[in-house]
Amino acid sequence: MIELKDVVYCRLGTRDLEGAVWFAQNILGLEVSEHRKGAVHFKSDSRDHTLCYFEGDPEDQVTAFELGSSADLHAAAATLEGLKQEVYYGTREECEARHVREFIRFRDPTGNSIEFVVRPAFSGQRYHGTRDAGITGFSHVGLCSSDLERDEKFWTTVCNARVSDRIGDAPLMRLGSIHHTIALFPYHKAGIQHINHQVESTDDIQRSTNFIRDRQINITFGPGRHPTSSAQFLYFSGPDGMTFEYSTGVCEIHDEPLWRDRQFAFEPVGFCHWGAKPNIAAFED
Amino acid sequence: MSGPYRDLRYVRLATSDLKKAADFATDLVGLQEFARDGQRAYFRSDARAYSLCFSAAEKGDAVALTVARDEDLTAMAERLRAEGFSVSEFDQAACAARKIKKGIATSAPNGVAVELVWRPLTSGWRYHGPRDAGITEISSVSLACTDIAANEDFWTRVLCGAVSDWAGDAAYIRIDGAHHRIALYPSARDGILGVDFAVESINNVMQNHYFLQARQLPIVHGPGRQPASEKIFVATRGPGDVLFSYSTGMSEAAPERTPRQFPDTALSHCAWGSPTNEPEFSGA
Repeated sequence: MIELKDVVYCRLGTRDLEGAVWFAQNILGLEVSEHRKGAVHFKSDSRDHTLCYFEGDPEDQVTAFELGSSADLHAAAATLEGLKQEVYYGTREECEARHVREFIRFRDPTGNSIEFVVRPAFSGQRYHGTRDAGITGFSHVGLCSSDLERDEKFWTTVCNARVSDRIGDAPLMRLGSIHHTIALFPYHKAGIQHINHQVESTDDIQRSTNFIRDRQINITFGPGRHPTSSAQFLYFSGPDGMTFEYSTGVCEIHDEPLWRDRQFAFEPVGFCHWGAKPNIAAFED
Repeated sequence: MSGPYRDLRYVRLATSDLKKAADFATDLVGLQEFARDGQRAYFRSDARAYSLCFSAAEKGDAVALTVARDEDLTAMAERLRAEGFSVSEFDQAACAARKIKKGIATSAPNGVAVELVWRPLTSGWRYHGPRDAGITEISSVSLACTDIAANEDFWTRVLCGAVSDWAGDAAYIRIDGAHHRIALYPSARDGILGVDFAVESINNVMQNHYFLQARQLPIVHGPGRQPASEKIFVATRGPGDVLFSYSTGMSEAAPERTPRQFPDTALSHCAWGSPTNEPEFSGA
């Protein structure tokens, strides 16, 4: 089994790098950690970076997970090749650009571009956002899935993800103790469905609601609270239609043997128990 | 000192359309009807017999505070008369209509009747609203004042309340263990500005927010957080232009702490920056 430690970064292609950087800094509240040729990296916590925008096709979206060692990475590559998945080994330059020792890239069964990395860099500097959004770190991704049952099987049997809860057939899966690090949502094509950053408190969620609304950014869902993870949330649209989420108060699962995954309805009440209704394609029937 | 009071007991609002007001209280706010006759309708939010009364019998609005002892009524009546305020003592019919043993009334500078009551009726039954609004008690009442200084003086020096904090010239007055039960706002009008009901948690504030929105009621302030009291709130508008709000997390009274002066800005009324058109919450 491929042992994933955590989600480490997302890479998003864009045709308007300047616009995306403006949004990431001024709306999302991330801090630029590095300008490279045709790419900008952003910090959200004590890691070197957790998001990268690069000049390219907006459909080119990558999610990266950390593995424990080089040996684990090569074993994972062998496992994936055994499943007839094409595995690409990152070059030295590509590793340097990502601030990792080694990485491989492949596509999950839906076709999502996934990187497995070893020794992603931490930085000695703490994150200090452009605005006080209260961000405490990049926390999870929602991935699009064209076949939820098949993809859940991939992430839970080939990899080590465990299902914490399901909304309809959409599984919320944990890698560590945090309720979910990967969530799959139904969509007809591959891509990142949403990118989550945790914020410190309720105040941050609600202040950002007014901040974002005042700037005419489209709020697609919330403020609300997920009945699954108990997290308070806000979803809004970013560059190239990407959905970003702030949330706070996600529950942790420490008693692995005792936890039973729960079934929630794939309806607004399954997504929010305050009564907010999603305006997000993958959250609607 | 913050007076001889046990609690903020009830708010009574005059109405010309008792049925409409009563429907608002139950169907929208989520209060439980306790009793109703041709003139008055009483609503529960907690263990009290009632905390809100809509009345077609009275012309003006009233706020009631409970005193612990009969002597407190006598002492307060003397104190009020010495300060030049007129005081009336309730007769039996007036006490029955208020569901109290005994009480007196005076008028605050903004024209709102202030009733001091002894032995108000408690219900032996717990509050069970028509829907799960999460209400736990009546939390505070806010008063609109054209002469803020006179009203602050009345509620503090005369009635022995104490200022917990100011936001601009708005004053939060405590009378018991809570940060405030009375909030005074400088305003272009006089009267009752709003009634606030405490709910269990932020879940209820936000659920009520979406409930009100779904029923096309105006959200006039919030969801927000009042910086001085730390309470999370959302407010809509009810009968007679009175604001009805839900709140949670009001801090406790801190009598040792010097009252803080918050600036005269909208952010002193909502730390989350929620939009409002209410001049009382908009700052200078």
